[in-house]
Amino acid sequence: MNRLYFLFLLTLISCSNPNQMGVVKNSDDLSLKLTTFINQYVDESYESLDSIFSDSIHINLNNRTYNSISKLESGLKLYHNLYSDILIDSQFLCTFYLDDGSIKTFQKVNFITKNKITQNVGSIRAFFEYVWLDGYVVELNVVFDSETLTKEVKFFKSSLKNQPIGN
Amino acid sequence: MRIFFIFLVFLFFLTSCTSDIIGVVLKNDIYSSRVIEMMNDHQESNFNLLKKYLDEDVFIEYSGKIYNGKQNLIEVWKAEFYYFSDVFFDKKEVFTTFNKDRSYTTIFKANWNASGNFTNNSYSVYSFYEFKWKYDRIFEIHVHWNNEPYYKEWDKLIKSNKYE
Repeated sequence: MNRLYFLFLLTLISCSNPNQMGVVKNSDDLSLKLTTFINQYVDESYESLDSIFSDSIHINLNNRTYNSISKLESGLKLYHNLYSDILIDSQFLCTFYLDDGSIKTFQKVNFITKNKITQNVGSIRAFFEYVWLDGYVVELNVVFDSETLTKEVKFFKSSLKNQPIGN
Repeated sequence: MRIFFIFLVFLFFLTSCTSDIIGVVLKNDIYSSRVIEMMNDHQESNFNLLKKYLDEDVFIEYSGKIYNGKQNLIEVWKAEFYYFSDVFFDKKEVFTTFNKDRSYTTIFKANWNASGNFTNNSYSVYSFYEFKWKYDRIFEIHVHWNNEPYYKEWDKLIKSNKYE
């Protein structure tokens, strides 16, 4: 019986560390949800949006702020209007479960894009920070170098101007 | 009985730690303190501590742009003060993870604030830094942010030089 007590104590000690305040995971449910979301997004599918993001989500996109899931959806669709192809070159993500109960996911994605009009191929390296509450993302911070996108939008606008009207 | 007990110990160790954990977040660790100090020094354009902890062959990724070597990195960070003044970080958040591969990663997240030297614009940019440590030295840095303030300052600089 003493041995069993010893075993129980050993198990308890083996996983607890007084110098830690949380754990990092990359194959948990929340991480997998976001991997699915980003994979569906490149295929222009938005079906998982409602099950991941809160209706009143707070979005910070390169320091421009938006609120609500409808803004998120229209923002996501905007990139598909500009690009004929959006592919994922590489991605990395991990979710932090802190002892105070807060949960955050960090995701780095390298997108390869092809402009619909100019056929110009470029890449966008984006960083996402998702803040979770009660199983939903309530805050999303996105940061990426806007230079490529600004150029692409200019190409796109100028090519639209130069297009002949009618067939 | 003894074999059974050994098997039980093995089984307990195997199942007691969740396998999808790839790291732990540390509390009051030395790496976070160093990074806080380095970033505070950065505001004052002081890079002594950064020099002390950078590996000679450090690799830095700046929103997709790659720089190699300690000296290059310091030059890049010094150049910031040619374009900007009153650089300061607010809404700071820092923590360090001890990873499964026994390396350490310090994450520094903050709003980078500055005034443009050529446009006089005020900027506030969400920025995310990842410092990777090995043998007590930083061997890799990843910085994620929007370079827009730089483009605005370059643009103004080029235009002002053109019409001088």
